Amino acid sequence: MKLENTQVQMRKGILEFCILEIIGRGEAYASDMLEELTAARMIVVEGTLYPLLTRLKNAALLDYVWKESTSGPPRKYYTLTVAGRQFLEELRQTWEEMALSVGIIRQPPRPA
Amino acid sequence: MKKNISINLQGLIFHIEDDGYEVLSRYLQEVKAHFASYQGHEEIVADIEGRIAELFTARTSSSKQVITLTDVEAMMAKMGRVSDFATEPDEEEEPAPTAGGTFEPNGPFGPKGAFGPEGTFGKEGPFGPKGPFATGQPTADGQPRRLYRDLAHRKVAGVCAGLAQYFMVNPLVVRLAFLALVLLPNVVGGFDRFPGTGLFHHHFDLGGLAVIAYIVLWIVLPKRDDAPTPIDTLDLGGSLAGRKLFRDIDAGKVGGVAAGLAHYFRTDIVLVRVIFLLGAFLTFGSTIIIYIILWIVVPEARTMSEKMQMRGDAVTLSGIDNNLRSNAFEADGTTPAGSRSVGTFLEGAARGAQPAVNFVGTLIRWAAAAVLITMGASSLIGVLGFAGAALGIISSESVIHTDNNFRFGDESFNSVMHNAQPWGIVAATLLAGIPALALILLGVRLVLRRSVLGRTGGLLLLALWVLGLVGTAMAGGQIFRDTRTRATYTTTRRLAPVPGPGIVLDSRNMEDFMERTRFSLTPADSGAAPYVEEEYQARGRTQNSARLTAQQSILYTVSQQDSTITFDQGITLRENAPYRGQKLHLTLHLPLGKTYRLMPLFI
Repeated sequence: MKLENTQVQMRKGILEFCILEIIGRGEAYASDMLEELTAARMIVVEGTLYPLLTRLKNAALLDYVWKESTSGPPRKYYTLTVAGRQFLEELRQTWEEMALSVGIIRQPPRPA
Repeated sequence: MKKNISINLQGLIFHIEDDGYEVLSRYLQEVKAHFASYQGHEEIVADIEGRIAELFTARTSSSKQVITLTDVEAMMAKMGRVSDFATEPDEEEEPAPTAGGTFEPNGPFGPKGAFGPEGTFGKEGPFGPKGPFATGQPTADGQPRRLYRDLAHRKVAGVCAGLAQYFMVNPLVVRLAFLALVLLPNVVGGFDRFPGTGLFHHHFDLGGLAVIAYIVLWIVLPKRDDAPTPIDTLDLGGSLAGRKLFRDIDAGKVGGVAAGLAHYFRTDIVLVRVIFLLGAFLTFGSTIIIYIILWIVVPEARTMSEKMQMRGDAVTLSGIDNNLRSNAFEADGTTPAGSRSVGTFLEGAARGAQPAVNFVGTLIRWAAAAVLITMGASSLIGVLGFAGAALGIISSESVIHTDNNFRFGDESFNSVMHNAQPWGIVAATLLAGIPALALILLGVRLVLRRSVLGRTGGLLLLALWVLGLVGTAMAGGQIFRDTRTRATYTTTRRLAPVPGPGIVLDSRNMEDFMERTRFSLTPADSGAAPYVEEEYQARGRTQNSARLTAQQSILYTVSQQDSTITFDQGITLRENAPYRGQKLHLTLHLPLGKTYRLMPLFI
């Protein structure tokens, strides 16, 4: 049983949740997200983000438009679709519940 | 001074130093290999390239126009190595539950247990979604799995290719198995010459069965033109843990087949070679044929990822790195020459033989088409001729001459046919003629390689055939009712007394009669005149109608000239009388005390 595996498992859904949260605040492009996610220590390397974005886009949760950039190649600006917004709403609820559940369990039982 | 290389990342041009380029191109190769199995991998790689371009742009300015090795390394640190991507949630990988009991690694639900990913019913097991017996899960193109003829990749009619799609194996495996079934019993049949072994003795004609099975599948399976590309390696449903069969031309002596097999079965290459050579001596060269076939059909491992799949290495950073290092000389396309000159020559010859192989396929197709068309046409002509004669459109003479199956005399043929209603004959013609027509169409289709008859046409033919079947059954039922009972009509024919001492019994030679008359002889009083008791028999719906038919429809004459009595050889029917199984039995009552002479024809 590897610690790493468990960490990957835990991160799995939460990373998607965070990406949706960032895009949910308004259109965003990969570098913005990277900065934020790296700062929050959600990801370590940037390569992790791209397959996730593609997957969310293929699942029709995200949509994007190309925008010219003054520095560098054109950028993909992502927005949430209607389905993406619903998905995010559900994830928020799940997160609240899970955080609560974990909190309850980690709390030492009160002496009766 | 340093040499620069200019590269293009997502439409932007960068000048990159030589050493930096080496590292960058290796990195991008790793990335591509890593994501190759992902959905939308082109897009992921393009996104990553775009990001690299962005990072590089940020590191260049008017005073620093060239990307250096340092820049590349900084970029890689930021993007992460392939091994770091492992933190990426992977859809393909569902780690097995790790609780105790049945979920232990070797328990039934653990990774190696029956329901685990590698077990019998797991993802990679034979009954799992990737295994050969899986059903219901989408195939490579996402469609539900079903059996069809794969016209896009066929050699003859697409049956083998379709079976391969269904079982998710290389079509070649199916074709080889089929050919082996057809040819092997005949080839190994020769071993019977070695007495006492009995090893290859066979009672079934497996080859014939295989051919019949092929034709049956050809007829019953739906066709499909847009089937996905068939599996082109010999990876049997992942049962060998991700290794794929390639020819290893680096390690090979001839064509790399033995080396590839050694990788595939994780054995020593020497062992495989010994098996091949020993087999060649023991089985009179059959392993050589197997070798050549494998050489033709198994692709050689060209790319890095193919070489790694061949060895079963995981396509990871370290794996690629090892391969790149150990095969560095390969980058400039040089082969480790010398030991493979024979192989290179033979390989060229094999490539040259490709048209010949295709030609043989065409030849088989055309031969099958010729057989089908000939069979269909001859039976169709027979059926139509028979029907025409039965309906009286063409004279039955011509039928007798065109088809040997109907050796009826003119008369009897017509009377048999009078039984049948015209609609019954038409129905029978449809019943027999449509399959013949279908054979012809199948043959034509084989030559043209496209459907001759549309769906509607096919359905129409089927409908007509069913109509023919029903009609024939009804006509048959009617005939059965018409001939249900048998009745006899008896009459006595008196002959004039014969004065002389002898009586000659003769028979009248007839060209054409319905049924030979049967005789029995009974003695009568010596003085009396001979007489004949005639029992006419016929079938009919009722006793009365049968008796009436017996009485009225049969023509028979007995003539007497002095002492010679001449009997007809057989009975004939009155014109337009239906055939009702008419028979005649004569009992000759002959006076005693006379000398009888029987003419040869009478006997």
